[in-house]
Amino acid sequence: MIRERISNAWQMLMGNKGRSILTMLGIIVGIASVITVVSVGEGAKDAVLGQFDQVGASSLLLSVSSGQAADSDYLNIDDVEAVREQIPDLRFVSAEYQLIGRTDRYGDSTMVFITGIDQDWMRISNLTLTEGRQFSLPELDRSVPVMIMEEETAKRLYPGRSPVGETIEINLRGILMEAEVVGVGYSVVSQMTSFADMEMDRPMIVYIPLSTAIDFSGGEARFSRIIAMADSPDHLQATGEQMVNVLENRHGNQGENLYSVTETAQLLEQADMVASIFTNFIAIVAAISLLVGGIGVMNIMLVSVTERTREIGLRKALGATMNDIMWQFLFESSILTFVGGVLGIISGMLFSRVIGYYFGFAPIIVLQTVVIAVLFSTAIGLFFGLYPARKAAKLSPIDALRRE
Amino acid sequence: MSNARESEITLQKAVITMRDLTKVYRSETIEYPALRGIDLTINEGEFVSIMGPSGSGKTTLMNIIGLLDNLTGGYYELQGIDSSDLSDASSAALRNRTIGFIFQSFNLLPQMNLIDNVALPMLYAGIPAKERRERAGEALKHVGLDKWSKHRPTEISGGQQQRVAVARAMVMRPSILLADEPTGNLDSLAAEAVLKLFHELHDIGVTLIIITHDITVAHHADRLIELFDGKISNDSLLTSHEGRKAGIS
Repeated sequence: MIRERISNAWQMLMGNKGRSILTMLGIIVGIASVITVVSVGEGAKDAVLGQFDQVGASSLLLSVSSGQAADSDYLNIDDVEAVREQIPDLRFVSAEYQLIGRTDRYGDSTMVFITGIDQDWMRISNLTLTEGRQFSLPELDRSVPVMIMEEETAKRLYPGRSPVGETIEINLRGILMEAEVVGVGYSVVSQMTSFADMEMDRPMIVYIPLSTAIDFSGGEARFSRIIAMADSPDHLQATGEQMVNVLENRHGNQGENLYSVTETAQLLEQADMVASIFTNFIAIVAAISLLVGGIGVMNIMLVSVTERTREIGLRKALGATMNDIMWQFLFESSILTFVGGVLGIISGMLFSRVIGYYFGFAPIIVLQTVVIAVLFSTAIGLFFGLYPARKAAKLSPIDALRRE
Repeated sequence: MSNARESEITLQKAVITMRDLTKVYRSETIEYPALRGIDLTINEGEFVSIMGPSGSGKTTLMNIIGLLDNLTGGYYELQGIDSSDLSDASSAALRNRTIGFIFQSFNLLPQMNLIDNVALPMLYAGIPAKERRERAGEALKHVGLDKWSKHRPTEISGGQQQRVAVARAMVMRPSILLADEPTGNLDSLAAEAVLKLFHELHDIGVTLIIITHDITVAHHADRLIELFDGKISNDSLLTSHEGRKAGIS
C-alpha cells in the first residue's frame, strides 16, 4: 500500500511540475548550502591541518620574544649546537634562518625569500624534491653557493622546463652571490608561504645551505627561532623547558621569559577547534535556511489544499478515507522535500567542488552529513506537511464537489 | 420489473430506506433546515429521477444518500446498514463498494490519464495494480473510449469525459449509481450517449438515481420524485416505458 501511495503522490506532483520544482527550490538551496558549508569547511580544515601534520606531532618551535629581547638575547649557530648536545631527547634541531634578497634575473627586481637549511631542517620540514638532487654533505658544510628552488616558483619562472643547472645572481643588501640551482622541491614552509602570499606580487622562494646563508649575511647570523623534533610526542613540555634552560644559561637572561616554546600539537588542536566552531556556526545558519524552506513547503501545501478541494471531495466520494487523504498529502510533501534534498546534495557537491577548485583544495563530502541532510529534509516534509494534510483530511467533500 | 406496483407484489429488496429524515445546516447566526422529514424507499433496480427548484434540498438529499453528509434527525439505511453506526473508514468503504458517483462537471483528475482516472476507486479498495489496469481497461472499452486510455481528460470532449466518469463510477460494480445533473454540461447528442449508458446499466439491474433540472432527462426514469422546500411534494411512477425508449432512439 505504501508503494501505491508513493506512486499516486508522485503522479499528482508530476501533474504540476512547475509548482513542484518551485516548492522544492527552498529545500534544494537549504540542503545545498548545508552540504557546501560542511564539505568546504572539512576540506579547508584538512588542508590546513595537513600542513601542520607534516611538521609532525612531536615538533617544537622555540622563538625569541621580539619585543623585549636585546641583540645579545638572539640565537646563534653555537646555541643550536648546544641544544643538540645537551638535550639527547631531541632527534633533530635546526635554526630557522631566513633572508630576503632581490634578483634582476627576471626583469624588474624580484624579491627572493631565502631559507638557510641544514640536514635537520630538511627532516623536520619534510623537504621533498621533485627534480634534481638534495644538497650534498660537503655543500652543507662548506657554504657552497647552490640552491634548491621551491616548486611553485620554478613552475612560474620556468614554465615547461627545468631550472636545474641555471645560475642565478642574488643581491642581498649590496652583497652579490651567484648560486647554481641543483634541485626543485617543496616543504611545509614553502606551502604555508605560498598560501599566505596569494595576493602579493609573488616572491621567489629558494633554499640554500645554512652555512652558505650565514657566510652570505656576513658571518654574524642571529636567529629568532629554533625548530626541533623529539623522538616521541611524550614529555614534549619537559623537553621544551630544557631547551629554554640551556639557552638562558648561555645568554645569562634567566627568568626574563624571553624564550617561548610552542608544540605543534597544540597549534593543531587550536586550529582544529577554530575550524570546527566556524563550520558549526555556518552550518546552523544553513540549517535555518532549510527551516525556511520547510515553511515554504507548508505554505504551498496549504494553498494546494484550498486549490484541490474538488479533488479531495472527489477522492472521498470514490471511497478515500480521511487517513487516505492525509497520507496522500503527507507523501506529497515528503516526496517534495526528499527529492529536494537529493537535488540539494548533488548541487551542494558540485558547488563545493567549484569552491574547492578555486581555492586549491579538495572538499570532503562527509557521508554522515549527506545521510542526515536527506533524513532531515524528509522529516521537514513530514512535519510541515502534517498541518496541511490534516486540514485536507477534515475537508467536507460536499461543497467541494458542487463548486464550479 | 420497472413497474412499482409489480415490485410491491414481488417484495423487492430496498436499497435505500429513509424515515422522517431531517437535515439542518447550522452556522453561528442562522439555522437552515434543508430537509424537513423525508420518508423514502428505493428498491433494488429502480430508475429514479429527483427534481426540484434550487434550494429544495435535492443536493442535500443526494449527499446523504451518498454518505457524504450526516443527517440531523430521523433514520437512513443503505443496503440494510444503519448509517448512524458508520465510522469514517466504514462509510468510505461502503461508499466505495456500493455507490458510483457522476457529477455535472465530470470531476476527472487532470493530472492522470483516463485509465488511471477510471482505476482510482479500485486504489481505495486495495485491488492490486495489475487487476486495476485490466478492469479499468475493460470499463473504458465498455464506454467506447479504450483507444484514449493514455490521454489526459483535457484532450477529450465533455461528452467523452462524462462517459469516462460513468466507467469510473461503474468499475467497482456498485449496486447504485448516483448522478447529479449528469447532462448539465453536455450538448444533446453527448447527453443521449450518456443516457444510453444509464439505460444499459439499468437493464443489468443497477439502481439509478438522477438529480436533474431537465424534464426530458427526468422522464428517462421509471419514477419521479419532486422535492419542494425540504419535503417530497410528489412521488409518481412514469408509466410510458415505450415513450422513454422512443425518446432515446
